[in-house]
Amino acid sequence: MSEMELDLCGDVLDNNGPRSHSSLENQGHYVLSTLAEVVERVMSFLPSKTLLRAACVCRLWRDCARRKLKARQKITWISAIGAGDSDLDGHSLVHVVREELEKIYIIPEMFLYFTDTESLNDHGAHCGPKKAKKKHGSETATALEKLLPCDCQVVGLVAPGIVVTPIGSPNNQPVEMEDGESGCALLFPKITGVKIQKFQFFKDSKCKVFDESKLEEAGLKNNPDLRVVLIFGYNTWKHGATRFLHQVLNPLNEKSIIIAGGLVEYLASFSSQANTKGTDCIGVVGLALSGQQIQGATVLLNQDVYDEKTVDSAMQRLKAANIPTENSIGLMFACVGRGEQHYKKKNVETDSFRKHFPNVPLLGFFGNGEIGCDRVVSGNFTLRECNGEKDNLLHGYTTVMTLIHFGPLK
Amino acid sequence: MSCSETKTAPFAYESSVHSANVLLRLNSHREHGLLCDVTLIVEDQKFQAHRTVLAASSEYFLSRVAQPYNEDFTITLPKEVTVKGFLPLLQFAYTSKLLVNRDNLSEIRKCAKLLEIHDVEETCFEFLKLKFQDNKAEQADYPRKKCCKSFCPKAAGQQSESGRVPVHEVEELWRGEFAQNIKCPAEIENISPSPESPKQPCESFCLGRDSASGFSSLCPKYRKFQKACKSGRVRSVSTCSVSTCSSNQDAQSPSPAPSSEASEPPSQPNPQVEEKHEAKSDMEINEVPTQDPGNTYQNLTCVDDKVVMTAAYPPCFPLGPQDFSSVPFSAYQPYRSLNYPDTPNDSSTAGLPEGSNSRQSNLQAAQIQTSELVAEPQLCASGKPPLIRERSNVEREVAEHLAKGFWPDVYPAEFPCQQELEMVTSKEPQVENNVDKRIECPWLGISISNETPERTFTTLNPVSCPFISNLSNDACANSPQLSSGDGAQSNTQEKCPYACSINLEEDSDSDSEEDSIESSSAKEQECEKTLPFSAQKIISLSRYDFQSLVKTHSLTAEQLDCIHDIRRRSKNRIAAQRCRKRKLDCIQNLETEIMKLQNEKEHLLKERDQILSTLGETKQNLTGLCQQVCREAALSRDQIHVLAKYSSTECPLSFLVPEKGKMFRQCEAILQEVAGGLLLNTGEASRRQAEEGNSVLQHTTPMTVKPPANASPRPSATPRGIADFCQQMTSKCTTDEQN
Repeated sequence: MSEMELDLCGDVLDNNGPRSHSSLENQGHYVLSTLAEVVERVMSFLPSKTLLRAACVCRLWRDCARRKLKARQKITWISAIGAGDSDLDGHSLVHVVREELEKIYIIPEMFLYFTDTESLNDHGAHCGPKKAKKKHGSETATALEKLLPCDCQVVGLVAPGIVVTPIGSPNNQPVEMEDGESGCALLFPKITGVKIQKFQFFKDSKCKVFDESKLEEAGLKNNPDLRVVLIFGYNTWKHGATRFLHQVLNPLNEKSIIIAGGLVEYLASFSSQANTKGTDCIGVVGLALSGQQIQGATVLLNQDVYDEKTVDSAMQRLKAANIPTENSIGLMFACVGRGEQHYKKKNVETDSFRKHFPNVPLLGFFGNGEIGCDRVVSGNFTLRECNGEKDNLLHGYTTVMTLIHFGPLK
Repeated sequence: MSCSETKTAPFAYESSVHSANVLLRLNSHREHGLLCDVTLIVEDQKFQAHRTVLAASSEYFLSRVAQPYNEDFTITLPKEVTVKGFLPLLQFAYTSKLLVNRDNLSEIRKCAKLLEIHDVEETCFEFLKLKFQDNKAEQADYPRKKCCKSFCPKAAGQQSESGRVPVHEVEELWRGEFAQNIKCPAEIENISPSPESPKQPCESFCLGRDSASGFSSLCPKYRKFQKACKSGRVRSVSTCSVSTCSSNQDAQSPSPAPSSEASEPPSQPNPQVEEKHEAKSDMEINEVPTQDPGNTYQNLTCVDDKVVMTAAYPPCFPLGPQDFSSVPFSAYQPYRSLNYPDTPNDSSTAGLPEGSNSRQSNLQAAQIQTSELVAEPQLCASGKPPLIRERSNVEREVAEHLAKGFWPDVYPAEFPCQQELEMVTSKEPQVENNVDKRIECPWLGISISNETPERTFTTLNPVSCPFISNLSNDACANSPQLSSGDGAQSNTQEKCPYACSINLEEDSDSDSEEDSIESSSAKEQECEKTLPFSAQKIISLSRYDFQSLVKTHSLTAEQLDCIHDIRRRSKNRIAAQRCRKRKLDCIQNLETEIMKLQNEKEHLLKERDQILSTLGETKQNLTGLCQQVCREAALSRDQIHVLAKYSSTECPLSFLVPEKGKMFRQCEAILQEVAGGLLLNTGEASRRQAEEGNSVLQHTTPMTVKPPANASPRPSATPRGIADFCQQMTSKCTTDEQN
């Protein structure tokens, strides 16, 4: 049986090879147009884009492809390290994403990406650094959005440095890229039992007061299944940013949910249609992950974590939360002040993470501030700090390490 | 299922707050001593509680409580259980919240293990142990930062901490307070479906936290700045500032700072630190951290305007905790010092006491500078240019139709056939060849050239599908892109080997209805231009309106054909869409139906179990009753026999049989033995006596009568043996009496 299948695979995929005689052709045709089991087995080796193309062939294939695609629910990530080929224009992440989208096995529903600011100085030096930055950022954003399916939600952020796990196996050693061109993206497929919503709030020039009813719209309020909120502030150097962040975070902090994130340089993209609203004001964007199967833990590495030993003990703490590591992702939001300069050694935090979580991909960025605290939200309990104060979420000069588990894989 | 059944089906009302509220009420009962039926004694302290709650939440209490009831129930817990460890656990039992801090962590852990409390997971103790360990370690090695590289003001603060005794004392003081004041730095909460309880369990205010978050009001931007210095971008200007700043921090440190690039003029910082120290003694503790950044900025700002502009971003989190007035304080400091560019040291020495003692005046100074600060951000902010999508309507529509036809369900909404950005930017030759006419759909990988408006199934197959590779060779050869192999097309092929690139060919016939619908859109577009009205109009009009419209316009035969074609196709398309939707709906309905039925099945199974158990119970009751009746009525053997005969199999009388029969068999052996002995001893005479006594006994002693009575309804296979045995028994009884 399996031999036959292999034969068929070879036969089918060999597009340019010589045509075999008609009897074999008929046999192959029969098998591939009637036996759903065989077709599905063959299709299980195909990435989603190829599967979509194959789905155009006939009804059987379409049904098989649909079933296959529905079953694929693994979170995927894409990362780009270094500038890549110099002859290609634009950010290296765009090229990597273009290539990788051909290879991935899921259809992304939510696309969260981080890119760096550094590399932007090389391009368009003629029109001032800041303008060039903006221009380039939006170019990258547009290019990325065009690569994705149109009902895929996009949230893109630009931060001073990026933490990436190289593409391929989740066991790859993550790298802290504080300088140089780099980027990474998280692709969430449709996962049964998990709802991923994006949200954006910004401080309008018109309405100064933050309207808490917006929270409910975004699924952040009156949502008993809410487990994790990833939140990113932008343009926070402006006057009143801290206050605004408090307004958004305080109602969230009252709940037993994981809150993690950071402050980025600026927002590159939010949504698939060209929407520049709110990108110039102080604002926050983020993802709300709800679903009872989600578990998570965060630890805060504060200023007292200063060498490998202390980082290690912090990672042990994260490990002790006992969150399952399969079908999980790690997120790291560090201060630009940490990293190599702080430890006098490269990749201290990422290496420690890899040591304790050998098969969890780690992504994140170096930002201008961090949002998070020590907290565990497990299937049966939540563990949180409860001092009377409410604003223990905003930090500087720290690292927030988060582990999110998306429920057992089917 | 019949109608009447569905009408009588019960509705289940399920409260999502009840379980939590019950616990809450029990807790308030406990607090008021209401209905408490057990007293726990831990280390000579008494705690009132409810036995049921304790038993339900702990294995240990279950075993202790499940003893015969007596008034004034007290349990003395073993010595290992301390109040410190037990009280939070008792609260946990009533509130499902466990408040753990560094002091009681190990005690609670021990007690929880000993008392076998349910639902408290070891994980949280492990997590907290590691966390508190960290904190202990931090306290132990305070002066560890030998050299400080970073420009973050926090470094300066720490330096002064390690170097200065009073600050250290203050530090210890608040740490001490921290330990006492804070009852519950961490909270473990069992997830319950209820909304959060309105009561905040912990109201103790933690001074330590204040200070700690104050320390984090740092300026990571400076790292960027420093990086810039290193890379030499701003070197010429910044060296000076680097030197002042780093020396400022390093002078206090016990060991030299080799990390900083700049040289160290050692004399400069001293007055400032002195000043800082003085200021601190006057200040509230939580002002210390916010003060520090200001100092550093001041030293920096004296150098150059340009440096100020780069460095003077407000720190990302200038949190004076809960105290917003302190935010502008640190943020505006650099601007203020701009006013005294020539006397930087003066400004810092003068500015500090002023800042600490009279914050008001400082704020006023800051407000003057506000305009400057506001102006600066605007430089940074530049509008995001609107995204331009160069996609003509025609191209877009064609692509959408194609995508819809092929794979409507994966992308139920409109499928985006997005134009490649590459078209403009990439240098590949083929793009230049037919730039304006090529569109690519990145997800389907279908490329369509617009010049050839018709496409058929036969041309579609050979080119596109990797799987049907060996289908129709000649068709493949026909396809120009494979045979001609001109640079442009084969390039595309290489780039994406499995892509369906569909060439639309003029001369091929269209026979498949569906395909022609898809391909027609291009033709429609073409025709549309020549028509006096739009295709949309043709489609949307009703039949009558449409006909009148056609009549009013004088059209050529070709145009009429075209119009009718368009209308027919669009109608077909709509019908097909409707059909698809119906099918999907049907599938969905069936799925929900399945779900419903499964639920029902589960429900019914449960019901069945319940009914079976009640049936068993009823039977048991009935048996008991029957037994009682028999006993009370003192029925004779014959009477019971008759009763059993006329009652149904369900009747407990027949029930009694196996049970009693077993007992019967047990004593049988004994009786036989005894009877045998008697027979041997007494012989025939005693036997006769026994038979006489038998009849007497049957009427006088119901207890002894019973065995034979039970034996009577037995199956008739061994009637003889039983009769014999009965005789033996009765004879034994009589002989016993006689003896």
